Amino acid sequence: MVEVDRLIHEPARLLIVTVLGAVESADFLYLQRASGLTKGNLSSHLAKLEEAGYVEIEKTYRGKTPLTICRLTEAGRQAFSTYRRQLKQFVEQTTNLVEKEP
Amino acid sequence: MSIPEIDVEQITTRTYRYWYDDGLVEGSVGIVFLLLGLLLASVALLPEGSPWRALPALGFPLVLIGGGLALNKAVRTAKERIIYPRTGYVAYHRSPKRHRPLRVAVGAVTGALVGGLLVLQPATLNWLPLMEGVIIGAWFFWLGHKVMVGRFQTLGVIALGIGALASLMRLDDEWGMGAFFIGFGLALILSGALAFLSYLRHSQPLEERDHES
Repeated sequence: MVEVDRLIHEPARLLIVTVLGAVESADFLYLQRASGLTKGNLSSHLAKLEEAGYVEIEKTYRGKTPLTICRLTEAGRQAFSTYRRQLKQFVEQTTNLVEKEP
Repeated sequence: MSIPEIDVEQITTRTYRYWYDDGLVEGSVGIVFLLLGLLLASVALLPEGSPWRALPALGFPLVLIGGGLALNKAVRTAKERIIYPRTGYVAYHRSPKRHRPLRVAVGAVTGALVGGLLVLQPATLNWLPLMEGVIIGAWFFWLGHKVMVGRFQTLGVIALGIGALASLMRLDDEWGMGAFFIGFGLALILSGALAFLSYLRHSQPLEERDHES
């Protein structure tokens, strides 16, 4: 059976990684809107992804407004791509099993 | 293993769609089209044989490139001041270089087909607005399908309709093309303005939201 990356497999983190996978970078506000997570939850998930080396977080300012820019690292993109491939394999294997059953 | 109920394709499309949500992009394209249309219409007002009638040859690329660059800058500034503080900042990847030859090839083949048709069959000049409507309409329809923005598909149909109408009215060359660009430019500006107003109604600046929470 396929073993997937548990860090990405968690739904909230998968959502964050999917959004970041589609763009070069996005700020905290956009991620919050796109994921529907609270500030605290989003910070906590981002911290875990940053710790794993999947996400890079840059704290900066736009005028006087603080801005937190997040982007997937190369390791994060690789991990996401591998995760998607593994998930596809898992779905195919499961489908084959179901079809073989009498 | 349980599979999270997250539609990766849908989230990716939604992220791309964000660039078009506020209507600023189509509004700015509409302004360029309107300027091109006004340029063509002003040339049509000049008497036959006037040297100024060669103006579109110089003005068209100038408006297209100069206006395009200026409005691109204006859109980015407007997004930084109005959109990003309300709904967040996103930086998109630049189009991959490997797609460039394909785009150039599609543009060159389309240009060659239209140009060839006009040279070999001068009567087809009457149908030039319709051809523009088909090409531009198809592009908007494709974009609407790609980023799942229904109003772009409506705009594709409108482009086709305006092109057909301008051709059927049998106007002079410049009037026909000018009518197409003015008509479709106004349609784009109207669509962009409505999308922008709808965006403003459904979003609030960060400060107001923070006061509420």
